[in-house]
Amino acid sequence: MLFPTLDFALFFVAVFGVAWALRAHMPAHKILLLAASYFFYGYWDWRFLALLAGSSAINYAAGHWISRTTAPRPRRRIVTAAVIVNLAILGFFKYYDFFIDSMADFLLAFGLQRDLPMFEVILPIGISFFTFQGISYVVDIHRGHVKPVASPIDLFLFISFFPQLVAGPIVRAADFLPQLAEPPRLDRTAAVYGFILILAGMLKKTVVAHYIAVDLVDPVFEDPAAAASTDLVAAHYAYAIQVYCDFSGYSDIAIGTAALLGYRFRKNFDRPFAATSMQQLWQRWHISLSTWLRDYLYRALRGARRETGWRMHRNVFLTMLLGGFWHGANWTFLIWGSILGAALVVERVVKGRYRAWRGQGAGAGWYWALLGWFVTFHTFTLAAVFFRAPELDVATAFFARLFAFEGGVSLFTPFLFALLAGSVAVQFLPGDLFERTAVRLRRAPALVLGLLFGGALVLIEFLGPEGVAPFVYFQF
Amino acid sequence: MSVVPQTAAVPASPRRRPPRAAQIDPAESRANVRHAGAVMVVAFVLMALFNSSGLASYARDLPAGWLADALVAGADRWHGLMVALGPAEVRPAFTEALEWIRARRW
Repeated sequence: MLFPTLDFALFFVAVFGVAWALRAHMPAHKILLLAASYFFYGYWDWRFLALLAGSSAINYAAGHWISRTTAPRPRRRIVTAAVIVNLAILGFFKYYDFFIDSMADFLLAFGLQRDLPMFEVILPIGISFFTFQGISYVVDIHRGHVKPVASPIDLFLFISFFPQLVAGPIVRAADFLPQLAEPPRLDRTAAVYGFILILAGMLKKTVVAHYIAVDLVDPVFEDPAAAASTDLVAAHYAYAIQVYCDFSGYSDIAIGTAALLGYRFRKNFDRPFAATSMQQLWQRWHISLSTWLRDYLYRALRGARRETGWRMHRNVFLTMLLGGFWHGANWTFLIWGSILGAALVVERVVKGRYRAWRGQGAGAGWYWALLGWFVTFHTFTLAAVFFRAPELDVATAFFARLFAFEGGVSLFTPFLFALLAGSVAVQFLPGDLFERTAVRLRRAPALVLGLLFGGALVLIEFLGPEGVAPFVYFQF
Repeated sequence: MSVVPQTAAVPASPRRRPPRAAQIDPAESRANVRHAGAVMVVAFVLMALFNSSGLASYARDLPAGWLADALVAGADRWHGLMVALGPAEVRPAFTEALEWIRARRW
């Protein structure tokens, strides 16, 4: 069930009504939300409901086992086993076919032709996101950041809560589980904020991301060797903006719908294209995954002690590389992760050396910020070519043609220019604009808000296409 | 990914979240739920008025059955009424204008 559809709207209104009717009876309220979340997931493919339930059950059991074990070494073994089981499930669905294909190629290279078992594994939607939440839950219990939940319903709901189930944001147990301890209450500002986020998400996904994709990005990446250079230049910006609008649009709707149900999620995107450094970019882009990788992957690579120098740079690079590999078993994702990892390391080394030479305050002027923005933005958009290209050949053809400077303009139109420029320009508006707008509108009567919200929805519906494409991050 | 442990001050927006649920009075919360519900109802009415063609095509995509038949008949009647009254004519005019803008070249 996709967010910007009538199916979801009807589903959400029904859940909204029943969930709030049951709010005084928390067990029933939670069971309703859990059932709704499983219905939401099963609407796509009911066969994977067992996988979702199984993953939740493993983490519930592991959490209790860790909390009952006091000796450090057995605790470490349990948490390691739980993480391995989670990753094995994820790895099987994401990488099994890639592994078998590679193994067959490898054996063939040595003259050993073997019929290896191919399953054509279907990737369950959202598997990465609920696996990451499961891992964070058991690791946080091990680290003493959260206590294991007494009720399995709480944990099953934490992992499957429908607004964030299929593409995040990756919610932390420490943020969400305390919200299940007391009946939810709806704040007027939060509700208005939810409506604004839903509108923003719909606009980004169904209008901006859609037209950028169908009018420019998809045709250019279909055959980059045949595209005009200007179209390629525009398309490399356009894809980064498409992914941003698609994914942050999903996150906005997720956070907005959760807010209307009385649950609070953290921001997942915070105007990333206004970032003036790579480090800042990752503090603003897919924040829930960035912080997850920092807390669970980087910390695992680093170990208990703080580190500096080349070991830190190596671990930063490895984290980004593995982040790239998580997106898919393809050279393009590995190169994408490597570029961004290397950019983080280079930026840190250059800044460190420059400050050592000119003093700590060096590099703080507006011109440095402008230069930092330019370099950061272009590093990200150029790397995104590898993210979008289905094969390495497509990416190399793209770059070969990009710098050929031939062919004029064919696909890039003033309409697309307006969409791209507008998408970048709004990144420089104040970050709490929606919150402040919600505060201003909180006293408005329901009829006025309904006309504003409904009118904007009608407008977005008119601007968008009939039907909606799946979100980009559903494939991960 | 913000994996670099030591970070400079970042002028990102404050991670302000709505107030904690416990700070809101239950009676006020109930009023807010009714308010949000009313907003959704008004929005649905507007969508039904101006996007009746979308409703009709949604009904036609439903799995076949007596309920789907009844919904298709109802949605078609509603769409016919909206065409006669005018709201359904807004979308085609809007789409035409958008297509004109999309077709502009440098």
